[in-house]
Amino acid sequence: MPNDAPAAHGNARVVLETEGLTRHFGHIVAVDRLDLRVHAGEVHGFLGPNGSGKSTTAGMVLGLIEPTAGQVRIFGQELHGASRELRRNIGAIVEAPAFYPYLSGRDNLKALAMAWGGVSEGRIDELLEQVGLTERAGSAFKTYSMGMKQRLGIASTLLTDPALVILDEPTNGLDPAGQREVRELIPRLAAEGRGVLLASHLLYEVQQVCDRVTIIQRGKVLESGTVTGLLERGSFIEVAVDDLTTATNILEALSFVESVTRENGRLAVAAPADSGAAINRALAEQGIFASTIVPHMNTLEDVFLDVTEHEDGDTQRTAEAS
Amino acid sequence: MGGLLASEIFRLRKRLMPYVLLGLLLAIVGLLYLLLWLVVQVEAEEGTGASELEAVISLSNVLGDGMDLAYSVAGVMAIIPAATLVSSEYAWGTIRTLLPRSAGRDAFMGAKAIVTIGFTLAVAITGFVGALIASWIVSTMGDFSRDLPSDFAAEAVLAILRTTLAMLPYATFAFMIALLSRSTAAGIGVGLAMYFLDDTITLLLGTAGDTGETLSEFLIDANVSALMAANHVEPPGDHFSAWRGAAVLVFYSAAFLAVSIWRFRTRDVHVN
Ligand SMILES: Nc1ncnc2c1ncn2[C@@H]1O[C@H](COP(=O)(O)OP(=O)(O)OP(=O)(O)O)[C@@H](O)[C@H]1O
Ligand SMILES: [Mg+2]
Repeated sequence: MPNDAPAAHGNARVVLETEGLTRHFGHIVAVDRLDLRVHAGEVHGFLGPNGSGKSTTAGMVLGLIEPTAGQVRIFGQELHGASRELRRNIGAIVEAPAFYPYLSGRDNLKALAMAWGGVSEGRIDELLEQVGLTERAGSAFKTYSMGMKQRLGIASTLLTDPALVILDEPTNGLDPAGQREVRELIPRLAAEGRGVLLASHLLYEVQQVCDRVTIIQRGKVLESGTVTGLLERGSFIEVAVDDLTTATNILEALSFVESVTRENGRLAVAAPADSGAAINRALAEQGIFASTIVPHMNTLEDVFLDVTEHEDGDTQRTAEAS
Repeated sequence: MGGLLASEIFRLRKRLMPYVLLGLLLAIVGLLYLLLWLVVQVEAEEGTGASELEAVISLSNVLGDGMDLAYSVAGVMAIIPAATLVSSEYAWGTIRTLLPRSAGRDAFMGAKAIVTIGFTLAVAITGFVGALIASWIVSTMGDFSRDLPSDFAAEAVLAILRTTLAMLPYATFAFMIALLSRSTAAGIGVGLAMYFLDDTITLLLGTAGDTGETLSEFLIDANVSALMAANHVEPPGDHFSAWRGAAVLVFYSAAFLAVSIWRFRTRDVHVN
């Protein structure tokens, strides 16, 4: 399997695992036999079109929503009957950050720390500092801008120093500097040994910070694997030659070439991105000289759109468009 | 649950609403005393002699008539926060922030139930303080009876507890409706409707033959009357025992809270 986790993740502790996780809302199947695995130390992108079941999945992991079927295991334990210590070890914002509007940012964190317990003295100020809210920590939450609310959300997530962090669109509403800060913060969280589940529609962001991604649609997993693996799969090497037929025969005989197709008078060779030199040599040995050999890397957006459009996901997209 | 309770109290203390409600209660009780005092003045001018009203607002009757008066306003002040305590969490979405890392659903509701009971007690104490101050003022101005029994302090504590228990079924009912409907408006609306219509229903049932009368004795209002009658030196009307009234009211309050906690155990907290 090309999408196997790199060895570094292969041995890491599984912090979140769902198995056959399913949730119906009346006729709607919001989450459909979902298998998901997040390891300690990895940032796991959780992608899917609007309404594909990301937030519902997060809700089930947090024990807010009861699954119709299937299981959630956190830190190797069944969520049902998991101890409070384990549940406190998950920090999450789902959908928009929600806080008490009349309390200040600092008092909101204080109220949560009281309720959850185990938050060390000074942790609140440290986090306010980290998310850049110190100056406005005394203002009521209802007076915050969208980005400030989001920052408070991230701070609350980390309040209990959790080993699993679930972030749902954490950069939504942040200014460019704020987005970059969060983009830099997320890998740091993973580097500290936490597992991060990141739901986002900003695919370039996901491509930058995630180690693995799971793409879902209508609650079903369409793809799951390492980001590099996914990007490589759809990528190809463009080869321009005069004699297309001979070149095709030569290239198809190579072991590392998966397929060769003609596109606009050129060849699209499905092969590893670094095989350009080998292709060049093989052709030259047979007296064919390529005028162009260009690797085309997919972006995560290409993969995402490709995968989600293939799966007759039109209902969702049409619904969104209308 | 200790943490959740501390957090609830912290958040309530930082909220404007409880102070407004308690302040309003003081003001309205004071105003009612003032109005009644004016009526007594008019009656005195007309020379109709010492009125019954004078007795009602005199300091020596503060535990009986005074607490009845306070109760008639105070219930509203207990119902409103009881309803908002639950439904605001839904409205703000804070329930999905607070709940997952907390001690769990029973503890979550338990803390809210305790705060509801505690605030109802605070309302009763405020009502008592309001009635005490207002009756002392009007009694001094009008030179009404200011004799207090020697065991006044103990009687006052009892009267406050009785008033708390009298309001509690309505507060917990509003709490339950707010939880079931996830709506502040519904919790307050239905809670207040129950509070104000209960005595009418009790009255109507009482006229509907023996069965109706027996039934009415199990409604909240009849038991509130029985319990509050014990605040008076000479209990008005004929009531069954205050103990029975208290037991029925405890039963109602516990049942409303139990239904809330039970319902919340298996209910989804939607994330959208
Ligand atoms: N409480 C609910 N009642 C009925 N249907 C619901 C409920 N919550 C979610 N759904 C449905 O479940 C599906 C998944 O919704 P969910 O919010 O999990 O999607 P999402 O992937 O988070 O979408 P987005 O990217 O827009 O945030 C949708 O079809 C939604 O309409
Ligand atoms: Mg969502």
